[in-house]
Amino acid sequence: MDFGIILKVLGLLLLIESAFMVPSLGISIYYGEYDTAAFIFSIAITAIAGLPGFIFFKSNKRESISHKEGFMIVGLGWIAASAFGALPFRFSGVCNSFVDAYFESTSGFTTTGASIFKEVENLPHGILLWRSFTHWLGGMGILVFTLALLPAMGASTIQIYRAESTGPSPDKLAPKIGQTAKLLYGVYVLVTVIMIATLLIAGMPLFDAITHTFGTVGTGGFSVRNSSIGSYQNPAYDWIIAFFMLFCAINFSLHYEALHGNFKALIKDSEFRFYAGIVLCSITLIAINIYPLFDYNVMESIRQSTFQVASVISTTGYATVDYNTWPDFSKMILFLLMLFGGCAGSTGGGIKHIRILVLFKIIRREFYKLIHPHAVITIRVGGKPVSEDLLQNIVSFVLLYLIILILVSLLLLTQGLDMMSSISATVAALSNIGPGFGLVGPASNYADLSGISKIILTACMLIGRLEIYTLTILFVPTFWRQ
Amino acid sequence: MRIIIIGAGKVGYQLAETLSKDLYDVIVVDRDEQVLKKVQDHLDVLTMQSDGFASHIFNNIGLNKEDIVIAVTGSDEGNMLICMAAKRLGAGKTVARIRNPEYASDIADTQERLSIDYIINPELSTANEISQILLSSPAGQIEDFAKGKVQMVAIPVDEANPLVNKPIKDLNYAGDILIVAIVRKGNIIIPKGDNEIHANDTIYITGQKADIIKFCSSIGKPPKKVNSVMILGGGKNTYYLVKRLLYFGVSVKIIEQNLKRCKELSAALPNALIIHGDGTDANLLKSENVEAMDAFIALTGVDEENVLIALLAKQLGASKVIAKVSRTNYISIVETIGVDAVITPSMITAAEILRYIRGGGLLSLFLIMGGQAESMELIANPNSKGVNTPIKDLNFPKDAIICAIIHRDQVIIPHGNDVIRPNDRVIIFSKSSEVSKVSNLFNEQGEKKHGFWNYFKGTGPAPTD
Repeated sequence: MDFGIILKVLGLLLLIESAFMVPSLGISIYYGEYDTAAFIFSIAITAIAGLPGFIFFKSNKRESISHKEGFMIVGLGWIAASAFGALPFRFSGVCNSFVDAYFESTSGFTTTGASIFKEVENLPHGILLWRSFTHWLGGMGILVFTLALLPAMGASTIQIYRAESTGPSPDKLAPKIGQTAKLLYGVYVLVTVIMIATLLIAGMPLFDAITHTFGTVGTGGFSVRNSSIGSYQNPAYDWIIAFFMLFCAINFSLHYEALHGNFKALIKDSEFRFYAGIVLCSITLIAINIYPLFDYNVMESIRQSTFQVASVISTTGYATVDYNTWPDFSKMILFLLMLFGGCAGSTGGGIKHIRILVLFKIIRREFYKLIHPHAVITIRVGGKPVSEDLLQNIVSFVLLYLIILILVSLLLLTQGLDMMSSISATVAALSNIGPGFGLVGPASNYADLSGISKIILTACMLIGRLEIYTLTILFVPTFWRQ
Repeated sequence: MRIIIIGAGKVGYQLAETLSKDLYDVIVVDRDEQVLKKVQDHLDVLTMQSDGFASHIFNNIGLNKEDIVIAVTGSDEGNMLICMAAKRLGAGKTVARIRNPEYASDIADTQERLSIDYIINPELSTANEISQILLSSPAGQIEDFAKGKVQMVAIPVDEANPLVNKPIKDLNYAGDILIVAIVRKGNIIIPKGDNEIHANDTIYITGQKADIIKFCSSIGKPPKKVNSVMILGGGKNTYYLVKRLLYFGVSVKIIEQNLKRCKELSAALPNALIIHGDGTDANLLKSENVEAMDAFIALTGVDEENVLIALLAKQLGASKVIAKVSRTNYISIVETIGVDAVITPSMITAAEILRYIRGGGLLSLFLIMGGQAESMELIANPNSKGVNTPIKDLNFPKDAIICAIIHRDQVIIPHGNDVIRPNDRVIIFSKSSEVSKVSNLFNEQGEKKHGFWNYFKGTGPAPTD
């Protein structure tokens, strides 16, 4: 393994991260709050940590980055980025322990949005901006951003892109990976700007608009209000944010195509159709189910249902109501949506719709084969055949997801959580949603969990964001054998 | 500008590798998912799988006038069809590989109607390359620049060589030549004055032909005219090569296993001696007098066989042995074990297509050591950064070297104080990583780097990072 190249990329990653802390420092100076020193120290430490790796290490070969190195770079990159991103929380004293700070920072970068803060409204603005900004960075991927700046490496960096992007087989938009990264970020920035503008027009204050936009397009879920979007009691905000949550859980390559006028690609995409179907069904079912709860007001129940479905399926985690108090039928649907997550190539987490879709097709094929034992059936998605390798990969991915879900839930049960809370907390972390049900519902937070639970959930967030394999592979002994 | 390569075989892969390092946008299309996976893992290019004809791919990506389509699939007819479709759908230029000698002669007339801008025939190019080595060279590989005024030759160095183990700046040799590269254990070193040449290295030198001959004589390797050649294997390469050699009055013996092919060859090449037999048989080689041959060339379809038989012929006494090796991975080993020159058709083909694509001020281009380095000849643009500045102030990349400057028909082997004048021809040897830097030095300045947004809106070409 070529550690030179790994350290070089990680060094650049930290340099970029320290540069991204500068706006928060600016805000903190602007408001004259107590977190200024914390940001100065964090920026300095992060930059100093990144500089030697970037300058001194040279790749000793010019060949492409291997699969192994790709996994190492992405796995270690995310662990390191979260660790250094935690510094402002700890230095400013808003978190009492590094575990809390690390939980919050990881929750930000992985776009989970699970918070250990009970009172966000008391936090300084610099910290609030940084919290939301980590969502924005983590949504499209910090290493994808690094790739956009990394053309001089000469090495093929497809392995990094694959290990970080969401979905079973990430596609390139342009022949070069650097360009692909730039195009994706281009679309991303565009969506961000449009959303900020829309929220401003609807009347949201600038700071709130920016932070909530970061939380939405990254499908993160950190809010600057204690009771999330619900605190505004403004239907316009709800609709705007719900729309953008749903929008950002769609494959960004499709958005890119649509920007070029190719709307057909979006409509024809089978994953998108499946996703749209699931969204519409869930909204309808839940709206009917919660109809009595909202005094038989049709619009109100549709709005609440839409917002909550959008928030959960896009794995954002904003809330306008405490859905913990909803009937179990609605809660069960929301729970299933938590597992499903967004589409491949989006900023959303979860298993992804494409995998679920393929899984159904595999099951259908098994039935066929029972009837026609000699049939040779190719599974197709959108008319294109899916290779047997990819099918295997998808089946074992879902299986691994469920195994981790069960094991972690068991571990959390030993920490004194009830069954509903522990299972939903695990799913909320693995799928990068944030709030779950029970003790970790939208109206509560993760502050009172034990230190061990926080560490376990932090790990789950990283595992979930990096689509399980990338991080778990680092713990497989064979990986380290020469 | 995008380059769409149809067919990810050896040539396709080599092209994709070199062009993507050159910062072109490359799209590789192939039928075989496995092959594409390998491409995707190692190269920064876009891959597309296509089950049949390529036109739906062309529709998909939307061809425009800037695009170049290169058809290098296994089928000549397929390549022609692809070019026709590509042209019809708007591609700017098309390149097709057509290897069947029967087509090759006919096609010259119909090329335009077939919408093929450039036809490459690997066997013909390979044959030309070999004949060049045989007819004009005191050494292994040889490349001509400026219509033969300047040559670059590869010379294997053995222990007895007077150049060995002395710093280059202290070497005494006849002839005004420049040592541009040392190949040691498969790695290319661009030497500075302090570097030493070791035994078993191969050195690349440039200079005028007369100087190179002087140099070779001074190190005890005087050139020898080739009068007789034995060729193993009677494929298409052999056919083209023998035709050329016979034209220059060289006597040729061909050994071929397949009787039917022997008869075909003897009908097509009346002045060559065709022998039906197994070339791996040392007795046959001996009885055909291999030790008296000036050169022995192994051109069968099997790399391993070519290398081993070439070594056998060398042992039996042939003065110069050349082997065709198709797989580029082997090249670095083969040259160290005693084969005088290695010929790689895919490399030659790729170089020829590259030359065509880069076009512009580029006059010649050769790929060295499996594409690790390139030697190229270009015209210094009057508006470029590289002109009118002493070479030592040019900030020239470390891994590249200026081999020669041709100023008004006069060849200058450059030193630090020499200046490149507008429209001079410059011959450069460069590791592949530095090629774009070097060619930028001599290309026209101006035309600002297009913004990302232009590209994003689809109005501009891709940003070149």
